[in-house]
Parts: sequence; structure tokens; C-alpha cells
Amino acid sequence: MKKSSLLILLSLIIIASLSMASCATPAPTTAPVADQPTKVAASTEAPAVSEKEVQLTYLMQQDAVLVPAMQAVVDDFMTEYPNIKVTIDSAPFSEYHTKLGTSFAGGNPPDIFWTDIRTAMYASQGVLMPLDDRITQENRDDYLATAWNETIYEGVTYAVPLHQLTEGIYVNTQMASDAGIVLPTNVEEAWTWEEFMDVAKTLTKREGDATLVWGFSQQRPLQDWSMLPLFFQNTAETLSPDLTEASGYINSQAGIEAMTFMGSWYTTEKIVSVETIPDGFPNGSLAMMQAPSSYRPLLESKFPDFKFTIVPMFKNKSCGVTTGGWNLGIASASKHPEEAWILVDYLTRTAHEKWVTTSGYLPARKSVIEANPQFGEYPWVVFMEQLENCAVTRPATPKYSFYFDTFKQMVVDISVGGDVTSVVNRTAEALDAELGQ
Amino acid sequence: MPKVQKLQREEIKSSFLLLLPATIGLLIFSFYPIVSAARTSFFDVSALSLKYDPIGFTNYIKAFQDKIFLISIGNTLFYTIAVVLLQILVALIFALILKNAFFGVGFFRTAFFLPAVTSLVVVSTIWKIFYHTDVGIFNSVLQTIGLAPVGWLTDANVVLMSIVIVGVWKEVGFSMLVLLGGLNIIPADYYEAAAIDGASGWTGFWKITLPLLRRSLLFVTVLATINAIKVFIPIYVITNGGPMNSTQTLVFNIYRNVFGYYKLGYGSALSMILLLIVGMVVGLQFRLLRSDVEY
Amino acid sequence: MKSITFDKCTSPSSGVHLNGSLKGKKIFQIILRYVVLAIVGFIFIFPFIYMFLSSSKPQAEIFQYAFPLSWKTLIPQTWTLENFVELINLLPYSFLHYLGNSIFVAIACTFGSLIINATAAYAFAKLNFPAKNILFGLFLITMMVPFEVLAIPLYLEMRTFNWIDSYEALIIPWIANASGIFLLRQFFTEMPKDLLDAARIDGCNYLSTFWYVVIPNSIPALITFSLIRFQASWDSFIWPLIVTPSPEKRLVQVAIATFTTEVDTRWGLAFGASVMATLPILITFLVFQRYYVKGVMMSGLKG
Repeated sequence: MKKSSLLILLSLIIIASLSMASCATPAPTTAPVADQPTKVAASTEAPAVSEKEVQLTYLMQQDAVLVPAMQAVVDDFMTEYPNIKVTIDSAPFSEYHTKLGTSFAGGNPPDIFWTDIRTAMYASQGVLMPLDDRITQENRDDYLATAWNETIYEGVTYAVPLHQLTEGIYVNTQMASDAGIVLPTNVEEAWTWEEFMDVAKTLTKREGDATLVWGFSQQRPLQDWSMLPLFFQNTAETLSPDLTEASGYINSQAGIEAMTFMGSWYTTEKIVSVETIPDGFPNGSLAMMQAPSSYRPLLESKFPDFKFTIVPMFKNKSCGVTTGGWNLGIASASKHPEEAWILVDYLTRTAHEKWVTTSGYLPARKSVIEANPQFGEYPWVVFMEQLENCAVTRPATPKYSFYFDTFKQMVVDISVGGDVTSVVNRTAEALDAELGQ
Repeated sequence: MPKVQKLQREEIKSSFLLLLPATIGLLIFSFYPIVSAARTSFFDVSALSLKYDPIGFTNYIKAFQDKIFLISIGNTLFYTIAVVLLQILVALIFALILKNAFFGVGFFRTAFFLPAVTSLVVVSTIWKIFYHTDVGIFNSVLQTIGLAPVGWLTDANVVLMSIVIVGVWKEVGFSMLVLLGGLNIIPADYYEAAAIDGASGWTGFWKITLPLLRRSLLFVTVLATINAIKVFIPIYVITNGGPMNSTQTLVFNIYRNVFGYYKLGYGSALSMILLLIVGMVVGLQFRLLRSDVEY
Repeated sequence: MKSITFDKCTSPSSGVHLNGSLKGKKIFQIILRYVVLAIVGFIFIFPFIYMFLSSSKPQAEIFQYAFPLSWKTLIPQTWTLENFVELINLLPYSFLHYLGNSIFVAIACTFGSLIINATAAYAFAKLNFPAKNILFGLFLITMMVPFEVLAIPLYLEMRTFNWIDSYEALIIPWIANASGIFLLRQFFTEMPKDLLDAARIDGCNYLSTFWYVVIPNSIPALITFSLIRFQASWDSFIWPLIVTPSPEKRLVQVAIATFTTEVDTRWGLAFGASVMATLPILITFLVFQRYYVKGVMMSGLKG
């Protein structure tokens, strides 16, 4: 096979495709966005049940605890609405959006599905059904205001929050008491950056060059979920209010300070290991761990003898902790939008209490929070107090995936010793170029 | 002569029948998607909505202004050259050692081939654990013998080499197997004749083994190159392209654009550039390693 | 390394005239060879040893002694089968169900692949027809485009064929395979021309030559090919993930990925599942060991 003939072949392909390109036949698109206003307004009374049996598909994150918990809730639903049959499919967490996105491309998405901060991305492509007509004001007001942040794109609501999630710092109780560290119990007493650094340095144990115990770590290391609070604690933002510009925000004085503080964890102070240490917290090689509320049940079941205390996130000029969670969306291509809405409404309203108590996530509805005194007690209160007062949401831009990758690259590069100012400036440039389009 | 013509016709007819099923399969499941991707590369398309907006060569122009894409070409070429050279060299050494039967030879052949038949996702996860700067087994061993730890996954100058090691470890067994086959069809009397002429082992290797191994070498080189240029899973599992873009590679970049940002048109344009690069490299290899040897 | 290479190249003639000092040198070389092979071999199988030992630890112990390095880092303090028991009792389907799916899909792929690609490879290796090189080049091109960009057009095809969430989608697109054809063409090309000519003279046509001469004489090569195709199907991940939404038709690699969730990786299950997913390949491998060792040597042809 000669190189020249290979080149001829390649050019043949290109010519063939060019000639096809000129025809520009549009490929079949997914069903058009519901443009006529929907007739049925949501209400708390049981909606009119149609006689015909309807099949709904429901995609959620695969998890050994979550899927059975959701199945139990869906079983309740099917008892109440015997004509609606719901099939739960699930996808592994790290490939969830690969799978959901492909199903949109193929025009056969699940009727209802979990969607997170990427709701705006899906909505911008017209694959989600707008839900404003169905969500009553009373329903909307029952939620903590922050819960809706991820679900709205250009003023239209495309999903309903299923629950909330936020973080705290898990402290190895034994190590803290050995070192005589006083643990804060509420946001008021939360450590400042300096206090936190002192605590982390005290807890770090070294022997020669080797570090036996690292003072701090994060369950979701080196990404926006864990690191965005640093910006907000220092009263900086990463993007302009319309989410199209990063220069002057992410690389503002306050932003650079936040990233310099973070960089010092890895480079000068060495209180955090750049790479995660699997199971390092319960095994005693990590003294503190920033982790979501849902990490607690897992620790308790996997390491029953391990003692830990949860304290609020550190603060600087203000408090700040990332919140968010999964929301339920309906595909605009769904053949059964009415029944899909009935299911969404049931899962987010009627079943909210059962779902949050079985899944380990946090409640997002005020009525449920008030009805359950446990949420006012330790450990729940640590999270709930921050959820209500210090909530930070990731930017709901249709280009969130790009933002995520670029932000992650920034914090990774700083953690391995990159110059903070130049890395942040480079990041601002990259974000401007993409988000500004 | 009619007889010859008839024979030729029969040969062509047989070839047609023999090739038909594979050709149909490839047409439907490989060429159609490739042509479709080639076509898509001239559109602005979101993979979510599949609305095609013709934009001519814009995707290609954008590609060459995309810093990360240009970095990824460099990284991919470095990775490919390093993996292919090391893989072929190590495979050749293994094949020469394991050519003859001796006690335990089957065990060693199996050991070296084992990585080639295990899941890349699984082995990448395990290598990631081994490479850990602070608690990984490699640095533990280095420290135990008194050497300084290496930032396998944190030092931007080292990380791509760490991925090269995984690539070589995974693929070398397959190359070894093919080269073993190539070595074993070289008739032993060639060496005997050479020995009578007083040729030493090295001369035998250069004058007999290597030339007669050319076809096998071409084959493993081409396959190794195509696989190496398409490196994706170890990057996806171990490094995600970082730190400092040091492990950004072409296919990782394509995956990100298609499945991360749903830029199907742009991702397709990048793939066509990739196709051009692989095509040129492979064409060059065919030219350099062409072999006309018949036994 | 060098001395061993040297030794192997001269081995066909060196056995005849050994004297005392040469014999000593020879023994030294053999010992050196074993030492080097043992070290390199250990490095190659170490990840598998690690995987197996980790899967035999209780969940809490897997990384307990990761650092500093000691024998506890590897050897379980408590040997347990709990990970495997949990995998077998996994909900909604036992891990064995996913293994079964993968075995079915991989066997179907391999079998189809064997028939279709072997015939094409034979034509490329031993027959002459017009545009042979161009066609071969076209086939090679299909290997040069990354699957990641073909996934969506291919997915849309599956929609057209109504194959979403079916075994067809997992098997049929992967049967015709250019790298498989390339591989077998390589093996067939090395088959002596005399043998085929002899068959032709005996009155065989091309198809019967393929069936009666090429196939029987390349069983080892075909087995090697099958192992590689089996493994490629076994290793597939993104495609089964997107094309089969329901857990009922899930394949092993996707099932293994589900042990990493939003909050945690269930390492015990992940390692256990990896061991279970490696075993079928390993067993197939050991069973056919003597073939693949001969595999590409065509030993049957030389007698």
C-alpha cells in the first residue's frame, strides 16, 4: 500500500463528504419543544387518571442505596396510579451524562430523568420540557430558594428539585481531641481560613520526608464543587452575573487570593495530598475531610467503629458552601408528558420526605424540614444551617461542562505548583473565549 | 489464452464471494458512520438536538487555532513514538528469549501476554493507585531503597511517560506473540549456513533475523501505531489530560468535545484531522518496512 | 539482556561443541535468564496479584495498610469471600448475570468475526483481484477513526434498525473488523505457497482450498485471533453503556463502573468484580495455552 494511494483515498472521502455537505439535508430532530401551553395545571388533588395503561421510563444514577430507595418510592406511586407503569434505568455516576446525552441524540430519551447543574445545557438545546405552567406558586414557595438555582434557564424552569446536598468538614474525633482542638458546632463558630490552617497544620504528622497523616482532604477533590466556596468566602465570583465573562471575576484580586490560599494547602504548607488517598479518612491517614452529607451513612455502614465529628465549612469574609443536587426533568420528546408530570409531582412532593430519609440526601422543602425535628439536631443541623445561610450554586450556564473542565484544570495546575496568577489568568481567557460565544 | 482467463475469472469471483460479508459489515457499520462524521465536520451540530447548521471549513479553521488541540497533537505524537519504539523493542527482546522451549517458557509467555487480554479500564485504575505520589507502591519502593519519590501523576514532565509505561505494559505481549510467530518461520538452516560462514550471533541477528522479520515487524508496528495514536482510556481514567495539559491527547480531546460539550461537528472535524495524521504515518510505515520476502 | 539475545541467536548451532568453560558460561546464562525473566514476569503479573489479594480483603481493610509499605500492604490480615458473596447477591441482578451477558455477547462476536474476517483475510493474503491494495487500504481506514466520534452516527443507525437495548446492537456491528482481517491476513500470508498450490493441483477451487487446507492448517492462528476478538468484545465499555439502557442487558465493564458512585468507590466490589471478569479470559487462555504458544508458529506446516 503506497502512501500516495492512501492519500488519494482520503481525499476521495473528503470530496464525497463535501458534496454531501452541500446538500445540507437536516437530520431528523427530536420532537419540537412543547410550544402550545399545557392544559393541565398541577394541583395537590389527585389528577384525573386516564383509563389507558401508560409506560414511563425513568433514568437515575446507579447506586446500591439510591436505586432500591427510589424503587420503593416508585412502587408506592404505582400502587396509587395503577395505570402508569414506571421502569427505572440507571447509569454509573461518571458516565451518567454520556448516556443521557446520547439518548437525546437518538431521539429516545427516558420520559423523566435526573438532571443536575447541566439542566441549562440540556434546556438550551430544546430537549427539556418547560414546567412553569405546572409548578404552582405555593409549590415553588415551599422550597428553599437556593434549590431552584440549578433548574432555571433564561427565566424558564425545566426541572423540579428532588433534594439538596451540601458539605461539611468531617473530623477524626480521636485525633482532634488528642491535639486539644476545639470543634465549632455552628456557622457562627466556624473556623476562619487562618484558624483552619492552624488546625490542619497541627493535625498533619510527618516523619522525615514522609507524611503519615494529612491535615485535610476533600471527598470531591480539585473541582468546582469543592473549591468554588473559596471564591465566595472571599467575596469573589468566578463569572459575570450573565455567566458569559470570567475576566475581572475569577482573576480579580479576591479570586487570586482564594486560589493562592488553596495553592498553599498543596505546595507550601503541604496539609493536603495532591492525589486522593482512597479510604484515607476512616483509615487514619487523613485527619479531616470535606465531604457531602451523604458521606455519613456510608462511613457508618462501612467503618462502624470509626468515630468522626461533622463541623461547618471554614469561612473568611463570609461563609460559603456549594449546594445543589439532582432534579427531575421531563424530555420534550416524551410521548406521555401528562403522566410524566404526575410522576414528577408525586416524587418531588408526596414522596419528598420518604425519599430524603431513605436516600441520605437533604430535604429541600420547608414543610418537610419543619415537620421533622431531627433536621434541627446534630448532625443534620450542621448541613441545614449552611444550606439556608451560606449556599453557593455552580454557574447554570449552558456551557457548564466546559466551565467544569476548565475550572478543574485550573485547580489541578495550581495544586501541582503552577504559578497562581498566570494559571488563573489563562483560565479566565479560556472561559471568556468559550462562554462569550 | 482462454484457460488463464478462466482461472483469473474464477479467482476474482472467489475473491468477491470471500470478501462480500466483511465488506457489507464494514460498509454499514464503519464506512457509513465515517462518511457521516466526515459530512458532520462541515456543520455546527449539537449532539443533543442534532440540528445541522452548515459552516463550511470553520470547524477545521477553529481546530488550528485551538491551543489545546495543538498541544494534544504534540502529546499524541510523543506518546505514539515512545510507545511504539519501546513496545517493539521490548517485544523483540521477549520474543528472542522465549523463542525456544525451556522449562517454564509457557508460564512466561502467559505472564507477558496477560495484560493484553485484560480490561484497560480495570488495569488503568490499578496503575493509578500504584502511581500515587504519597502512598503509591512505586514511591514506597523507591523510598525503601533510599531514592527520591517521583511525581508519577503530578510532575508535568513525567506524567506522559507514566502513561507510556502503562501503554507498553498493556500491549507488549501481543507484539511479542506476533514476533514469536515471525521468528519461528525463519528456517533454522539459515542460521546454520551463517554459522558455517563464521557469522557471529549479532551478525546473524542483523543479517538474517531482522530482514526476515520485516513483515511481522511491519504488522506489529502498524497495529501498535494505530492503537497508540488512539490512546484514550488511560487518560480518561488516570489523568484527565492534566496536569498543565501534559496528557491532553487527540482522542481524549475528541471525546470531551463530543460527549462533554456535545460539539459533534467540531469533534468530527478533529477526527478527520486525526484520520489524516494516522493515514500518513501508516502509509509511511508501509513504505519504509515494505517486504517482498517469500519463503 | 544482551547476552541472552546473543545466546538465543546462536543456539541452533552452539549445542554441538561445548567444552568445560563454555558449559559454565552456559549455566550462568541460564541462571541469569531465569532471574531476569522472573523479575520482569513478576512486574507483569503484579497488578493481577494485587487485584486478587485486594478482593480477598474486607472492605475496610483494602487501603488500611497502603502506607507505609509492609507485607500487610498486600497480604490480607483477614481473608474473606464477602466481596464475592455480595457480588453474587447483587440487586437487581447478580453480577453473574452480567458475566453471562458478556460471555454470550463475546462468544457471538468472536464466532461471527471468525467466519467473516477469516474469509476476507484469506482473499487478501493469497488471492489476486483488481484494486486489492486500494480495498485493503479502505479497510485499514476504518481502524483509524476513533470510535468516540462514530458512536453517535452508529447509535442513530441502531435506532433505524430498532436495535436499541438489544443484543443485536452489542454484537452485529462488531463482527466485521478490519484489525481482525489485518491480523489473519498476516497469519495467512506466512502460510507456504507450495501448500496451497499443491491443493490447487489436486483440483481444489479457492473456496475448498480455504476450507480444506487453510483452515485446518491455521487452527492455532484462528484460536489466537479468537482470543483477541473475545477480549475486545469483553473490554467494550462506552458502546454497551449507551446502547443498552436496561440493567437486564448490561455487560461486565459497565457493571464494574457502577461501583463508583457520587460519594464513594466500593473498592472491594470493584476488585472482586474485576477478578471475576478476568477469570473467564484467564481460563480460556490457559486452556488454549498450548495452541496460542504454537499460535503464530504454524508448527503444523513445518513437519
